[in-house]
Amino acid sequence: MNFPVWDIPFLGGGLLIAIIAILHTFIAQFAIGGGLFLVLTEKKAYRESDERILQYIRGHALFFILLTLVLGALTGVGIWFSIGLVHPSGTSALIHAFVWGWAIEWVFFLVEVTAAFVYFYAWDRLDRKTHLTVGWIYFGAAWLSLFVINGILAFMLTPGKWLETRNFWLGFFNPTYFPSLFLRTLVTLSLAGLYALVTSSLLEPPDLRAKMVRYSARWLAPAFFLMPIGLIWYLFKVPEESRHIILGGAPAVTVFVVLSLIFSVIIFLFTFLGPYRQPEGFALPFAVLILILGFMVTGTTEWVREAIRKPYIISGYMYSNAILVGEETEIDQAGILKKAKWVSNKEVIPGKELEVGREIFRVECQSCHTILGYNGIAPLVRGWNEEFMDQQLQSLKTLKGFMPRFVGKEAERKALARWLSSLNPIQP
Amino acid sequence: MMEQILALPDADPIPLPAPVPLLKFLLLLTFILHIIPMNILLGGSIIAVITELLGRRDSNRFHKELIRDLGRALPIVTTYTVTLGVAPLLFVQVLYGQFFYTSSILMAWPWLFVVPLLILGYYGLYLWYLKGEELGTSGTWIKIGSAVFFALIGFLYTNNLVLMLTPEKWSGMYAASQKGLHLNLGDPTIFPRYLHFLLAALAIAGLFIMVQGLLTYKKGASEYGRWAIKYGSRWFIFPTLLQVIVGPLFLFSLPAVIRDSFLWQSPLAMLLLALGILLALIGLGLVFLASVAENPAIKSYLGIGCLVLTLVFMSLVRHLLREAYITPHFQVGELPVVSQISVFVLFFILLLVGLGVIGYMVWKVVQAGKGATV
Repeated sequence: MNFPVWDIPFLGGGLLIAIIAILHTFIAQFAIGGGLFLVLTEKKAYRESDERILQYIRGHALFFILLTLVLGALTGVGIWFSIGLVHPSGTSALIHAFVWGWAIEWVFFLVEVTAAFVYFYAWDRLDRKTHLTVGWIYFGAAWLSLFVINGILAFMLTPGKWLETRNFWLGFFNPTYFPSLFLRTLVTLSLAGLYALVTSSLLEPPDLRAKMVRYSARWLAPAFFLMPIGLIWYLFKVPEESRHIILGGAPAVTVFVVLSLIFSVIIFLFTFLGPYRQPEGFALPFAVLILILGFMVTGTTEWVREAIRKPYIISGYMYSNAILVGEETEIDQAGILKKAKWVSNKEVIPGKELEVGREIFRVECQSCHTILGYNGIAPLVRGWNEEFMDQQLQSLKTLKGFMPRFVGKEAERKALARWLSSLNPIQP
Repeated sequence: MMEQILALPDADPIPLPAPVPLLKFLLLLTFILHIIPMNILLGGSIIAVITELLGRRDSNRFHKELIRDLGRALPIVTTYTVTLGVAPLLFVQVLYGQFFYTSSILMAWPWLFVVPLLILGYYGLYLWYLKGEELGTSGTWIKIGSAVFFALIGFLYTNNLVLMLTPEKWSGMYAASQKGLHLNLGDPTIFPRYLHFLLAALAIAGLFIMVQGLLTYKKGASEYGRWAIKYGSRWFIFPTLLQVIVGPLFLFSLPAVIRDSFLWQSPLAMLLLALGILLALIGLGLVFLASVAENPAIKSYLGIGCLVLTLVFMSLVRHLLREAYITPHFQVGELPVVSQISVFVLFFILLLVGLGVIGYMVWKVVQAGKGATV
């Protein structure tokens, strides 16, 4: 309402963010667990005086640097760019509520990238003890960056007492903070294992490959045993409405939850039966398959995390369409066209309903819906006539709990209904 | 019709977490920290391309050596450019978010395009570093690709950071198209401004090459070191001489109202600009003397010291220019402030600890390599 709206045909803003964010999460979480994998495996090489393991972990470190410092870091910047373009008000709110949180995160980034470079480039120059210390510094800084971003991500779903107090700490250490941190930490360890399965599957000779494949597979064990506890803990802490959405309130979300669980079980099962039980026969295609499944778990889970927050960007504070909780009545009285800054029509003029309706759609609906593409509105309202459309708009909140209610004057709602019903002309 | 109705977005309703001067200080400090590696990266990647083409013609072994040195340095420089760039982008959004988000949305696709350009350019640098001369001719093309991508990113930044200062243009652009495909090419300041910054990038990368020359010189590789000092100084001197034309061109491309309000009516901006130019001239003289001196170290470092100060003063002038644009529309000083002292103190302590840890690691590397850099 405050900002202009970027029209992205077919794809829509939400899907654009999701594509970038899921890729980022899949790499960035590996950047954390993978750091621990590097140090512990390096230590293992020293302990067992195995030069071959050391060679392996150096190669893995190069792969790690190339993936995390370039694609991982820059897709992180990409999320920031894209959320600012699609949800400027929500982005601005997160920035303003947590300025010093972001600043602290930035300090951890600086330490993290420096440690990564020193670890990789100065491997031969540093003595073993110092080199391992640098590895630990890397892992520490990387995990601490998760510690910070987790607070802000969890805040969006459960801002807790921040809503009344606007207190940084109450918003940061919010109700889902710890279960979420626990779950994400487990995921980082699993991803360390999944990526290591890829690099270790290429090792020669076979006995080394078998050894390292089995070792990598073991990195999934903590998640296998502890994830169910984490999930129950998390589910227990999310708001009532979100739990309702997950457990059947919105069928699509439930499907994704089930998919995420099924993929996870398949990963654990495959890893246990394949690389863990029979590491000798393990090869790259199998490793890539498990990695792809891991990517799908990341994708479905993050999608669910976003979906259960509906109808909000920040629960209880800002709706998905950037309208603030508490300003609805004011907008009802003044009219959305009066309140919105980037519309050309300031009121509904008879004869211009279609043009006005399109503008209202852009302001109130387009942050989630495209017209014909992802979450496209035209197919969703096919067969609805203008009158039925208007009835639906009047009771969106009750009919579809994951949508914000329509705000604005009656004439504005009717203009929107007219435009929506014009999308699917009735066939004669 | 739309022009009259559109308005500047309101500032975020959440109060600022610290007094405005502190936030501005951090914005400027981190901006200056960001543009040092940024200039080395942008200028260095362009210099690398030209050096490679020159080296091929003259089959000069020093050219090859310099390419190798840059190939090792630039990937690291890229990561610091990006990481140090996160902080000023944060503080710009804190202080001037309603300007920044709006201009970004108007040029959404080109702006988002920065990210893939950076990814491709960065992977190009790593290919160059890891594969080196194995790449042959395709290596030259990869270097050209990276340099062009980085130069393009700079151009997109110039577009957006000027567009955010001119809200009077937004409504017309948005009315014309909401697809986020605009640039800001119609603004007469864009090209002089970009050229001004591009020349500065070449000059600063030239200084970086001088420093590399000085370090190898100290380690005994005197012939290459001496060549690099001379070569780097030339990359500094000629672009900086061109600024004599481009600088005023940029200054006089600014709208008269803005130029008057920020320069002639602001003694501070005038003073900073004058100091910046003066120090640049002194630095220019010192760098020139260093390039022909028997013992170049002291003159070089003094010159570089002056030029770092020029960079600081010019960044402050740039900030005052931004304020001159924005002040008629919005006074950031009027925003409500609710200081979050405990979190700020924590940030400050962690910053010191973080810098200490970074210092420890760098010290260990330097110690282990007996004075060499990573």
